[in-house]
Amino acid sequence: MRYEVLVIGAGPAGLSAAVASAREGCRVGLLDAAPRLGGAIGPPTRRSGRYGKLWSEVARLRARGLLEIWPTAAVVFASADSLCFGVHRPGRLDLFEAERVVLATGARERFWPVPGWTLPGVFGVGGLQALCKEGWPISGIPVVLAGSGPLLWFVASDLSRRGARLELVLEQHSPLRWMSMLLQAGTWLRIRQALRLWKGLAPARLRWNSWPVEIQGDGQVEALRWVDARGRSGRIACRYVGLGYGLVPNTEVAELMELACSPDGFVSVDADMQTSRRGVYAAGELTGIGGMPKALLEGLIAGRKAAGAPVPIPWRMRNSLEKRFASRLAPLLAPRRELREHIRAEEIICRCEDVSWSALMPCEDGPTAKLQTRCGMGPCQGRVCGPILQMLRGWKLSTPRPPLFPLPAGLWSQWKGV
Amino acid sequence: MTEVLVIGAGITGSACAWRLAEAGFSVTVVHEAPIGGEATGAGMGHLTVHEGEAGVWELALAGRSLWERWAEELEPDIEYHRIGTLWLIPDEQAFILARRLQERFRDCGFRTELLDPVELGRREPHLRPYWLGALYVPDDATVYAPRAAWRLLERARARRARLIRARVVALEPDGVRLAGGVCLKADYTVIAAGVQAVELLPDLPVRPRRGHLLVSERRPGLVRHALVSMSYSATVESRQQASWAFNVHPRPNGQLLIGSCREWDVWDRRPDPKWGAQLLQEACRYIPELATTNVLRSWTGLRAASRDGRPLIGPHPQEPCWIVATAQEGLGITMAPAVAELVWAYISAKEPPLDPSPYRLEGRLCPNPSQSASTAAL
Ligand SMILES: Cc1cc2nc3c(=O)[nH]c(=O)nc-3n(C[C@H](O)[C@H](O)[C@H](O)COP(=O)(O)OP(=O)(O)OC[C@H]3O[C@@H](n4cnc5c(N)ncnc54)[C@H](O)[C@@H]3O)c2cc1C
Ligand SMILES: Cc1cc2nc3c(=O)[nH]c(=O)nc-3n(C[C@H](O)[C@H](O)[C@H](O)COP(=O)(O)OP(=O)(O)OC[C@H]3O[C@@H](n4cnc5c(N)ncnc54)[C@H](O)[C@@H]3O)c2cc1C
Repeated sequence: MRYEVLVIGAGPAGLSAAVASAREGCRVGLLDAAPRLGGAIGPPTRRSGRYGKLWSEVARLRARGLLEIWPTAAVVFASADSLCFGVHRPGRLDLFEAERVVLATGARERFWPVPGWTLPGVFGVGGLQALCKEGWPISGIPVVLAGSGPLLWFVASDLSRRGARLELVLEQHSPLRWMSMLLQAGTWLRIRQALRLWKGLAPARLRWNSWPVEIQGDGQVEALRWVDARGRSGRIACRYVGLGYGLVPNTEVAELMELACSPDGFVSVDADMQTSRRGVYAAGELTGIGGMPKALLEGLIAGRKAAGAPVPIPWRMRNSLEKRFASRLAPLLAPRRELREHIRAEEIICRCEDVSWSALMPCEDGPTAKLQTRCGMGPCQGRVCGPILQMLRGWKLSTPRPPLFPLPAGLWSQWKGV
Repeated sequence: MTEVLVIGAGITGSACAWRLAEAGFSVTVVHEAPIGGEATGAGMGHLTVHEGEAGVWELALAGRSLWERWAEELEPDIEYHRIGTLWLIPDEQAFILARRLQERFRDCGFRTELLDPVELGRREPHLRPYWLGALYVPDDATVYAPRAAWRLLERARARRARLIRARVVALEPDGVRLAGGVCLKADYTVIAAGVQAVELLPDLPVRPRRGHLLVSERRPGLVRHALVSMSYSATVESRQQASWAFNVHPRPNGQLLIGSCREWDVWDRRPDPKWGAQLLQEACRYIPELATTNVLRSWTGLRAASRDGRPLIGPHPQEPCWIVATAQEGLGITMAPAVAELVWAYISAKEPPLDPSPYRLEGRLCPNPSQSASTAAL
């Protein structure tokens, strides 16, 4: 497969980039590891609105043959020397080549090792919401959510709308803290959104300045213990727990391509969304966590640039506002100090390889931890424990190695490369 | 008290540190990267013996026997498992080789067994019935080498060895100079820096020989022994730029390690998926069920290889207080305890447990350093 512009990741940023490039007449390929388009947010709920219209555009450009879409197609190989990729689809491993590339691989949830986090019934808030969207029965089931920020509030209101018995929502910061951040870096739209979500949640017992200390249960979640900043505490029975302490960017493809990243782990881009490599652009959560508006706008800029089209000045100005919002948001989403200080010695940090916090204690850096304890060496290749250790110890476990996702040996054996 | 500096905390440096600290020397280990982070962490950890250049067999043999004792000392967490090796016989010629190998093993007191195809199929039910048979060496083992290096260093430190995290930038007649300019003094300096020894001693005839390895998801029981094609030794001795052979063994958790290949003079540590394909083609041909097994990760390691195929162990002719210990090629884990014995013998002026002459540096150095591996490539 050969394209003028190849877009990797079909969330809002990737869709927006693909449409922007295809509109300019480029031959565009768009691929995503997931079976359906839409990334973390999924398909639009209504046809109007910017996102809904984007989907109609996708359909139109696809029908005109300007845009080719590959679902269930995961990039497993990438290189620093060429714009060639190994792409795994069920039963196949193909070479994709491109003249320009837009990376829009998004972000994943950061899991946090709250004592008891490995019990069945503990999810990421986004994961829990996705399950419910797919029709998991949630009605009448007691749920506790804990975390921080807009995603937490949004999922809380969505789950209660779906009939879940929302026992408690533990938000780690105060409304004052959030309000001052939103006033400084937000837009009126965001402030209105936040206020609406908070108001909707009040009866469902939204607790500010609070966080979980232990998830209890015997083979399944049964209850959660929490405290707040004033020392109050409690225990509440529940069946599911959703944790939401921020997102971490999926930089694996970018790292194999040896693109420059910022110290906080996002792919570095200039005002045109170009990365450290000419002809390679990045957009969306990959460059900073800022939600849909940022993802759509960055995709638009990256897509146009990749197609060689100019970018209007007002877009750039808006984009720099979005960037500022993203940089203010990140520190509020990360688990607060108290949560980082209370990791139990016996807590499992690497679930793939069963590595406990105490086993990691003697290690002095990420590579040592990996070598000595095999932390991060399992099927998820450190996608879960890596960000935890980054936050707890400032470690980087290691740079990703091919394949980026588990790959059947028989398929790989047929790989010819370029 | 005699002061000894050891450069490098791979398996070789750690083994030397322990041996020397036990013998009562004042030991300081200087290393920069994570313990066991270079070749030691990249290797397969197969403790085995095969034919090679003069002295290779003897050093591996001595190392393997010592490992049996070391394993008891260092267990439980070095994952020492006596899984046994099956040297697979592809053709008549290899059959003759296997016979010869068996006799050589027997002379050294090793247990061996020549398996016919039926018996081989019984021991490895998932192996395709392609082979003429196999030479079974039941006492060969595997070990998790980076942890072994860590444990050895721990033991050495319990014997008052010191550990300094720094990069050595130059050797001095009476010690070493570190990055930043600090000098450390010592009576002897052991250069156990793997392939990077050429940075410190450009006249060493050491070149990198890159290898790729892959690890699969857990498939307990799919492979039970270390499976190595008899053609493996030929790849070790090969002068061709690239060579490979079927080489697969299970980790204790059921994951499979899949190797192995060799490329001369490649310093680039980034894995190339094409090598993964090459190794998997071979592996899937012989273990058909592997085709549906997921591979989780690939990586590379640089073996330190000498031009003549023999390890380089002994005093540097120019500065006899520099004791070099490198170029074990693909057997450095196996050989480590024996290398430590040789180094100890040199420093304490004692009788070595095996003939050290094949490994000595005299007459083997590159008079013109530019002939050795190009350090510019670093
Ligand atoms: C439950 C939930 C509710 C949300 N609600 C809101 C909201 O109300 N308002 C708002 O502004 N924002 C909301 N967000 C955030 C919003 O979804 C994100 O900002 C947006 O999806 C980011 O878009 P993206 O394209 O950067 O990344 P993503 O949507 O994360 O898409 C990235 C895509 O890349 C793919 N990918 C990754 N690696 C590879 C690879 N190697 N090969 C192939 N494909 C790959 C992934 O499969 C994924 O589909 C919500 C998020 C969640 C989870
Ligand atoms: C793919 C592959 C498979 C292998 N399989 C096996 C096997 O199955 N069985 C077997 O027995 N052997 C095997 N080997 C070989 C074995 O791994 C090596 O021979 C052995 O690990 C060498 O150990 P070492 O300590 O000498 O070198 P290294 O492990 O390379 O250690 C040298 C250390 O010195 C440090 N260092 C270097 N220069 C400096 C400096 N200037 N200052 C400070 N520190 C420095 C480095 O950081 C490094 O940690 C394999 C090797 C490879 C690559």
